[in-house]
Amino acid sequence: MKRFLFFLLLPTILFAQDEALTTSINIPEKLLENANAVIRQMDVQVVIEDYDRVEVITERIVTVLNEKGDRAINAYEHYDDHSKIKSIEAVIYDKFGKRIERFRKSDFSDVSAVSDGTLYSDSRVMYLDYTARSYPYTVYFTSRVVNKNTAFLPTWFPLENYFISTQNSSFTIDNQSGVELKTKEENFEGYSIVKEGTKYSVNNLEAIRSEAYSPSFKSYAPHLKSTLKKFKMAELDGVNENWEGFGKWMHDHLISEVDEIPDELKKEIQDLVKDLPTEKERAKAVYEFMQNRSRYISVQIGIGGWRPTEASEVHERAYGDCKGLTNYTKVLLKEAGIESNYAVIYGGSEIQNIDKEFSSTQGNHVILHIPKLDEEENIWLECTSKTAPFGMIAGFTDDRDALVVTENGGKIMHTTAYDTKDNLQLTTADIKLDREGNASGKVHIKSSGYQYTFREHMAEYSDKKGVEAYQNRWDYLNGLIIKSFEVKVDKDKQLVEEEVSIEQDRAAQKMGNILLVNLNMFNRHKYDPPTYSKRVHMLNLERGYVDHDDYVIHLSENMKVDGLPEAVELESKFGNYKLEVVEEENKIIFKRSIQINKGLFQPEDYEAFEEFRKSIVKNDEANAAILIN
Amino acid sequence: MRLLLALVFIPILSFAQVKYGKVVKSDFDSVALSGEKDVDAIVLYKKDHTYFTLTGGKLLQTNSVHERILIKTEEGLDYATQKVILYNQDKGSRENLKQVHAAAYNLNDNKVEESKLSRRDIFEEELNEFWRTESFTIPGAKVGSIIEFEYKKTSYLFSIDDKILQYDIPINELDLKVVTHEYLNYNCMANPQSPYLSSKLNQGSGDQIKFNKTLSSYDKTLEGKLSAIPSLIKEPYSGNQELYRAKLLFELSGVSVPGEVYKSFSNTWEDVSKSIYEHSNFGKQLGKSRYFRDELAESVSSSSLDLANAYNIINFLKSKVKWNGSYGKYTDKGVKNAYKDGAGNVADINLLLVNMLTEKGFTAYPVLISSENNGIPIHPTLDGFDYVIVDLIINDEHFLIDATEPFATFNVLPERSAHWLGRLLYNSENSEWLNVEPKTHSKDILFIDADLNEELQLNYEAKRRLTQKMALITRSSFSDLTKDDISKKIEGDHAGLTVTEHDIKHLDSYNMPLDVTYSGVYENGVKKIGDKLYVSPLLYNGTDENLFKSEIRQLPIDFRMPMESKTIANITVPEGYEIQTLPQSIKSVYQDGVGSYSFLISQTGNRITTISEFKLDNPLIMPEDYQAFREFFIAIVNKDAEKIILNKKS
Repeated sequence: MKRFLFFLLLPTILFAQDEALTTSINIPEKLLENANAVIRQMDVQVVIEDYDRVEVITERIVTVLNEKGDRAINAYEHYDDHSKIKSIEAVIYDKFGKRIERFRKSDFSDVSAVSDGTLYSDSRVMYLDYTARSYPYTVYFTSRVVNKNTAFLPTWFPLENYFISTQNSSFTIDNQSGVELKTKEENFEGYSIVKEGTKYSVNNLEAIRSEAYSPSFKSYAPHLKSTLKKFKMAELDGVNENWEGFGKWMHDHLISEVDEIPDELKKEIQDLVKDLPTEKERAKAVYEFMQNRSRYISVQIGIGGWRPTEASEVHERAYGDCKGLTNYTKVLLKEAGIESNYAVIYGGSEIQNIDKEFSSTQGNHVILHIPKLDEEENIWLECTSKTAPFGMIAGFTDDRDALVVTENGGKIMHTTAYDTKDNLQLTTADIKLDREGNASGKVHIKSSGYQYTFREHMAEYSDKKGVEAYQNRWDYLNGLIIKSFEVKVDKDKQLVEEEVSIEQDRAAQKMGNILLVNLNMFNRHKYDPPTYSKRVHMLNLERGYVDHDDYVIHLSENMKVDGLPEAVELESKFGNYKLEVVEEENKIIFKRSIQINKGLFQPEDYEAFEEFRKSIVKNDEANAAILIN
Repeated sequence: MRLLLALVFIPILSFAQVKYGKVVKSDFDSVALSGEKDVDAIVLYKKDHTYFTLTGGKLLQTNSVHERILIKTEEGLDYATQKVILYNQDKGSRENLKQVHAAAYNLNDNKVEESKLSRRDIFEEELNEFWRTESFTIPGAKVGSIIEFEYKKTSYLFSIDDKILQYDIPINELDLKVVTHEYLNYNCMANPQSPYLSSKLNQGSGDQIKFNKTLSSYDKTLEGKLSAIPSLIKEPYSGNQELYRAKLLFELSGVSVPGEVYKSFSNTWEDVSKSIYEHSNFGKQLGKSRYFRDELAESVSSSSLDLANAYNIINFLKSKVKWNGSYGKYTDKGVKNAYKDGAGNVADINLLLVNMLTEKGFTAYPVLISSENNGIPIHPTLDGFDYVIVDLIINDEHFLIDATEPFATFNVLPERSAHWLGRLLYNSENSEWLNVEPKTHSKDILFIDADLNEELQLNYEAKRRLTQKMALITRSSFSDLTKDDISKKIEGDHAGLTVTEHDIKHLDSYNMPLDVTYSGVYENGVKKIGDKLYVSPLLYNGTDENLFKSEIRQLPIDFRMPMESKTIANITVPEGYEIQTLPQSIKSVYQDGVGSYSFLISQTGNRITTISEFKLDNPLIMPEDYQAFREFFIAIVNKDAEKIILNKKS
């Protein structure tokens, strides 16, 4: 083993050993289907020399088939104060395997790895900036990176992403540290992944395409996770036997040392809550105090990007990132006599769980968990939002497993899920239609549950921006004029109420003595879901919701209904849809309801789902014909 | 060439002295002097002074900035984070940031409380080998706060950064001053496309400041105090918004050090052309051919001097060298290295094309361009051009080519380079203006034949022909797509449209029109209401959205090309139905025929033919013509929404 490693440590000999892999003309046909790039070879060796030193040796050959495949080169490495790129090189080959260009370390671009929306980050990246002259071409990339930080070991994804196939991929962990290593194989079923000793390998994985309404790539793609039971995070030693122990370590070393706040602030909080009778009122007052005076600014700095900023500093600056603000709120709540826990989670509208069976550094976001307030259990707080109602987490951290860090250790808990029936939008409208086809009237919209989060921002909008937002929402209503609008947000009820006065010129088309009007003015589904000749992925509807629309359309004198849309009732396991239009004296009563169910369905179900949605789009063109005398 | 404006301003001389740190209670009640309501923040005061000092034999440029901003909304809080970008290539030209102070002021119990930025909250970061930033977020800032910052930026560079006179929020008072050194001469010019600056033209006299002027040893100072500057307007379809921002640009026109010969940089467009041509990364790049001669001869054997052969040469170049995304009127690595490496910037590629065409006996010249991003230059300046394309001349006819764009062809340029005027350079002495914006109408012609069946579906066969820029746009959107995905592209957003078969002609022959034939079913073209059928005469191809929702407009609309869009739709209705009503045929014109629309419908037996035709000769709609154009457009939307009404025969 030592000899073998010694061989690799020789000054890099930058010629792909296997010439067959640098020409593009011999790629198996199956690997070209749906592929923008082919991973010809990906060999990663993770050499854990000690619990505080890991070296990752990468040898990668990628054939890029077209412009969209350029991103698959992935010829880059990150580094920071705790890691060092020992070597990084790349060679480009043309279609026939002829070497055309070589990039040494000094030819790589060296830039700050700061992302948009981040004020500062101490992470940097070296990457290959290459313009392809023709396709296909092949990139042979090698790198060696030494990291003193062992908290984040690489994860092996033999299938890297959509539209990328893999000819050969292997991953070896050589653990020389004496510290026990934990690994977990995810989604290996159905793939012929071979394990020999500590080496995993696989060949000939065909590219998969992305499809709408799919579960996340990570949820079904094969991958290997690994982590050390004892690790180093910046200058800290860490332990990770299981979630309980890892959580305990986080609590004792990352969080409990950043909880100082000035005495005046303690007093201010005590005064704030002293007359409030219930725990919930006290917690809410503290949460709103924090929301009012702080804001979110991303500063990725400090222990592995994992330790919160001191509570006193967050207070002084009146800003912080998710960790800083969550910890700050926790400290303030404690002053108000309320215990709460720091909770690590994957934030995003796409639901992703912390793996409860595998403790490691996971997650990209932090929220706050309150175990109990009066009789209510498990309240979750999003501390980076200045507007979220107390306890509202819909749309970003809802319905998923999180790591809750307590003084007794970590535990995995599931966050609040929002029930389909509670994710409600009620729209009523009272509209007058005149003989020229012009419409005017008022619309009321009430949104709650998950749908609250779609409308809440309207309250913040200026008149001008609000008008633009309604114009965009109803962009299919030509000649629409927003006369006025009013938005009320009731944070306690988690309800947004909107009232909009509108006018629409030529809401109806006049043809001879007939007016044709689309009665579904305010909630029209316009677009068909995409068709797939063969659906591959599961159908994932992550959240359910219900919409009700009730409109009354008043006709002027000498107007008479000539024809109305027929009643429609669609039932499916994905939800239901109802449309009913009736005529009353000089009035048309329009009723529509739609329910979309939450659920994970088989790929074969997609076609029926597509039909269901298409049918909704078609029926939402609910035209009435009106005769004018 | 568009109008050159001589801008004059009324200065506001009675600014109160604004000192850093002196924020008083009444400042919190400030409103936007521009009269704007609902703003995210208001710049109460901005000072932007630039001056030069001679120290140790070197000229030091100092830019002293002070801003005071009242935050009105959450979004306005973005102004509490400031990022200053600094040039950082080498010690000699490195920019430095000094004397940074910042604070937030909040009103608490009627008292102004200050929270200061501390040095450790300023982050310095190297972006890449040329640039670094210093950034900070002012602590204690919230909605309702006044924030304030000041700093000095210093460097030994002569070039003066653009002076930005307009933000996305209103500015109440702006104190601008530039004092150059007597050794340095500059041309200063104001952006004439700025509606704010143009409107200032129409104001009365008084003490005036000229913003378009020359700064030299005789007159070193440019000074202006402006008040009530409105926020920059955002309107759809106006192109790059930055083009309309009020700003001043400075160009170094000459250096006169005592005892040395005056060194001029530019003066007239002829001078500009000459100095660019004589630059080693321009003129010296022309005429070199040895490195590609053999390969070109091998690939392109014909020596005929026609378009077809020129097209072969362009394709040869495109196969050899790809654009790396960088603009530039000067070559980056040089034509020879670009050829060798297979990649280069705009000048590398297009000057290489000039060389290849010349080598094969064609007459071809470089044409300097001010790209879309560069805006429209006012005075002759080197910075007035940032791009170069190629003019091929065959029998006195001009064919413009931009070989950086994979789908471009003769006289069909991508939007970035089809901008304003081009300067054709015959050699270092002779040059002339050339119109580079598209002259020929881009056409989109759809012929569609559909049968209506008893299930109310329309089975159709369609043929679409696209020319010029429309073909370029479609080619680019089809590139690298599978057959399935092209079907989806054609279906687009049209609900109920299915494309089952399609065939594309001339996808890769860029000098030909693009022909797309396809067929399938359209399910949402007919509605049964009561006992009547309502049929969309243009099927899915009507204009169904009024793009111009706002009733007022301040910026031009730019459609970027003259265009013609035509639909010929035949619909055969099933036996058993009779036609009750057809929409009326109409013809409408905009501005004496600059734009026109016609909708003609006729019936022969059970077949209904509709021909709609939209034509626009001038793609630029000026704000004063907006009302008329909008009405013209709304009439089209309303007409296209009308239906054919069919009755079941009794």
